[in-house]
Amino acid sequence: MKVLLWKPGVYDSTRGELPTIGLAILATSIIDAGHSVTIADHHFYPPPEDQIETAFIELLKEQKPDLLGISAVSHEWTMSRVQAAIDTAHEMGIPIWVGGPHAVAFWDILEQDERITKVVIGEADGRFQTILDSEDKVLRLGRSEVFNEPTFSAMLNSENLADYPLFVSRGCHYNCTFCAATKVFGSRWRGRALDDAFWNELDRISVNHPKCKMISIIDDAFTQDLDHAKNFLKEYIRRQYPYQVSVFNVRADYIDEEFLDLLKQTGVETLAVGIESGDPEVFRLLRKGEKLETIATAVRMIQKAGIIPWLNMVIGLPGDNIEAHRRSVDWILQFDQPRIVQWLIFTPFRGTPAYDYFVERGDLEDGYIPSIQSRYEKLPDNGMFDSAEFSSEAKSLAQMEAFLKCRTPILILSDDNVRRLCKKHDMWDLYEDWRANAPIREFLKTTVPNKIAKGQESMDPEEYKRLLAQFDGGGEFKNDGELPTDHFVYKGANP
Amino acid sequence: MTYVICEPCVKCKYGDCVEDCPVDCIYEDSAMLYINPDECIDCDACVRACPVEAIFIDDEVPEKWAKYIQINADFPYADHQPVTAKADVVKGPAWDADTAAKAD
Repeated sequence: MKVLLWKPGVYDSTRGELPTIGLAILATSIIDAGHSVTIADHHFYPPPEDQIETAFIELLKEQKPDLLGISAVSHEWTMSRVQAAIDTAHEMGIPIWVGGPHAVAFWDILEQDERITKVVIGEADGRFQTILDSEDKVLRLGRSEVFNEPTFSAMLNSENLADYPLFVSRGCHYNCTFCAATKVFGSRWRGRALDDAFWNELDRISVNHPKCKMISIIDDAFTQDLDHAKNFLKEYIRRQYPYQVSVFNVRADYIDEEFLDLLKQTGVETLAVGIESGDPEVFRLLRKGEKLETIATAVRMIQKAGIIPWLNMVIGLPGDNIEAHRRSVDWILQFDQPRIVQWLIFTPFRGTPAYDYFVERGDLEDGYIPSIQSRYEKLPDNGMFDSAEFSSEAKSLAQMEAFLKCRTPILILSDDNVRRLCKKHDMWDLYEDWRANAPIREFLKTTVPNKIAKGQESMDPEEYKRLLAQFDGGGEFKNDGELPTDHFVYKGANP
Repeated sequence: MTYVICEPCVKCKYGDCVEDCPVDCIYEDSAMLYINPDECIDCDACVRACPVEAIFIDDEVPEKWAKYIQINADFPYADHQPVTAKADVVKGPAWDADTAAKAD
């Protein structure tokens, strides 16, 4: 059997982002079952802009697979080119399996879609034959008993893989009301055995992906067992792997000084902590199982260890409004630099209590699919949806206000729009304060060139020069290799 | 912080919570189920599983059931094993088949 797996992707600016590990894990299971597989990951490596509408259909006709597997978020699923590809595959008589976040959230809608053969929810490790043999249209696989090594080499353009996603564990014990992770993986945390098979996977990276420079630990809760995380880091350091380590996220209540010291030794520059809101009532409704005081202590501990805390904040959560949001901003401002604060606008995931909160209040209709927004040159993001407590426009302006107050430099990429809004909404003093005090020059000279060099930024070089001239008296476009190189520093604004 | 099992569990014990607890910190005697505050990680999973709304985080326990904070804390955990499977929970006389069916 010949299998084609597809991640549609959203747009060209995701080039060089992490490859889709779920498809690579499924590929391993397909190969183990004696079949051949190709992965077209258009999130990791999109086709050229002028071919993006047709590239996959052409690939489909060229490959003529016996089976098509698609992993998509809901926004991807609604794109016309994705629907056109599904129609084409259906007309060609190819069975279509759907997995990923859209399958988790909208399995009931997909079940009614006659073009779709199977809707797969859960971990794919070792499960290909199980899925194939099942007579059910909707399969809830839950968590797997084994961890398969992903086969990224089955991915088209895998020679360009520069950032290797790695699971050291899976799952999370916690049930935060906004989070979809437990819908996929369940709430049992499972550490991966740090045995020969595990280290062999890392040893093979230099052979299979010679351009790899970074390992990203993408666990839901890397430090749920802190000793397990430390044991991994100690052995990683002892083996002297050449890759810089990036950790996606940690819980503030599961770190200590030894762990942070080990992280620092692996080259970690920034460490993301999910806070979501500094307002006590909004925070309480999240049911995160930790306290704001614990998080504050952890942020300072991260700074003391010489790592920049990356603080993820969300606007428009259940219970949020402009007053609560401003309390949240004030709470964040207690932390001195260095710190990076990311303000995102909430997009509820169907099936979570936070989604139900807005549906039950009549703010959202069931079936709501948020758009994707992550282009900083368009900041502030749109406010997604109106709620009784927080209008869409107010959320959008609240994001801009928060970035300005936190002196976040990325707003410079949307300078014209920010100026216009600040003038219109009586925030000019705030704009001038930001302009005078935010580290805009450093941002333009380090982060932006790094992103452009990776092909992840679509900024016009002339526009870049114009901006740099305002802060640095001009300068050639050049990637000087300075820090920060951590891709998190320029991560898209949506999960 | 810890979660606390309160009066609705007494003589009832549906036991859905023990299946969802990720750290196996729920114990039982003939009267009710108890959460060991030293083992609870505050994940909220048990609250969502309980069909009779018997479980609360400690600072949100209704005043009328405030004594259950101490009752949960005082259970002799060292003398018991945690109960981890719903099938092992001995149902109480207030257990109701309709409620159990809805929870499932």
